[in-house]
Amino acid sequence: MSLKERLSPDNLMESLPISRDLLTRLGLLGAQVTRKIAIDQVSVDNGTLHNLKVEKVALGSASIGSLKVENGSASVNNANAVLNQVRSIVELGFHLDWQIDLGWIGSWDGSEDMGSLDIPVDLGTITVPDLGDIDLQIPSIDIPGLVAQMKPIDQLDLGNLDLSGVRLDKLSLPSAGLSITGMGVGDLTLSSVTVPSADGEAMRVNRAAPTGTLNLPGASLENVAIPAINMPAATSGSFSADATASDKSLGIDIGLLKVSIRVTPTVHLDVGSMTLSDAQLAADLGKVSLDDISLPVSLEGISGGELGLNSISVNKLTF
Amino acid sequence: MSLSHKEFEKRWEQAHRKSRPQQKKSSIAPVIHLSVISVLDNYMSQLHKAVEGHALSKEECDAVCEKIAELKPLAKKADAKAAKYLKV
Repeated sequence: MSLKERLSPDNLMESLPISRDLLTRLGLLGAQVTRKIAIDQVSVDNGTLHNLKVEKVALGSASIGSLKVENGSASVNNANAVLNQVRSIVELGFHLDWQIDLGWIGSWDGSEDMGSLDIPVDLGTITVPDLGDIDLQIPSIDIPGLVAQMKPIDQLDLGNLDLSGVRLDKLSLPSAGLSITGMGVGDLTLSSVTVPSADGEAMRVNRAAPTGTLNLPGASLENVAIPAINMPAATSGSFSADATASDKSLGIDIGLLKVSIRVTPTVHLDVGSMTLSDAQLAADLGKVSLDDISLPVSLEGISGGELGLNSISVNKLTF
Repeated sequence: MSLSHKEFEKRWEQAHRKSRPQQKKSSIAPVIHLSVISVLDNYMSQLHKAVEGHALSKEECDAVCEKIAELKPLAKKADAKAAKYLKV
């Protein structure tokens, strides 16, 4: 008999000192243990997970306690201005100044208010074709009670994570690679198994959403530049302005007596509205501080490596 | 003085009705206070200026000022008693 014929399955079965029926039953049992293993509940007291990475952190509406902007500045450039319904009152204030000088006998002086004269002037509409650049320095702005929509955070690397009190319910494991031989039982049921420790290569959780909210202590941004914005037109409400010119006086001097009439012109301006057109707005924010941020958060696509679990207890294991 | 919008409207209406200056006082009458005491004080201050200008010696100035200082209380007393007759 050739070597190939001697190593055929039938010749090998015949050569074994075991009956063919027993070998057939062992084959059936081997096929049964390749079924799925169902674990009702696994409890882990504590463990560590290294290299924790989160694919996406979804953030809800954030409640911000206060927003503080420091050392801000803004500028309005290349604007045209139109002043509407401009009226002015030219106020002429009259004063009489006098001085009497009698030499060693004595000298006296004084000023008498002679009243004022109002001259109304209706200026109508005034157009300023090329208004100079206006720079505004804003030392500090406080905005309390903001609500902001937060963008999700992608590819968040959290490093290591300590786990405690982990529990997995209704866990199903494929038994591929698990090999049990020499067992003559149809079903296996373990009411309770305790493993002192176990090490896993990796763990993946598809989705985790904390029930509470994540409180951030605060955040700050520095030197934020807002790009220039073209502003087609902006109309202000009514406003007033006053200007006082230097005094003009007319006097007479007759030695003992000096008399002069002094006139103080003051212009009171009342503007119905002002329209700024074709302006370019730009702003710089020195420091932006966000305090007391509270927002709901959910994590998606969490993965980690080098999982170490201690004190694992399995309540029920069924093949 | 800056005007509020309300004050501007009030003065705008008034300015269209009136064209004369608004006088704050009914009359202008400068008041001069003249008395023997003030004249004596002015005289002494002029003597001191003369000393500073080296037109008068300090001793001469002090001698005159001493006499004026003696005269001032007497003049004050007379002023108080005969005020209505000494009115300027």
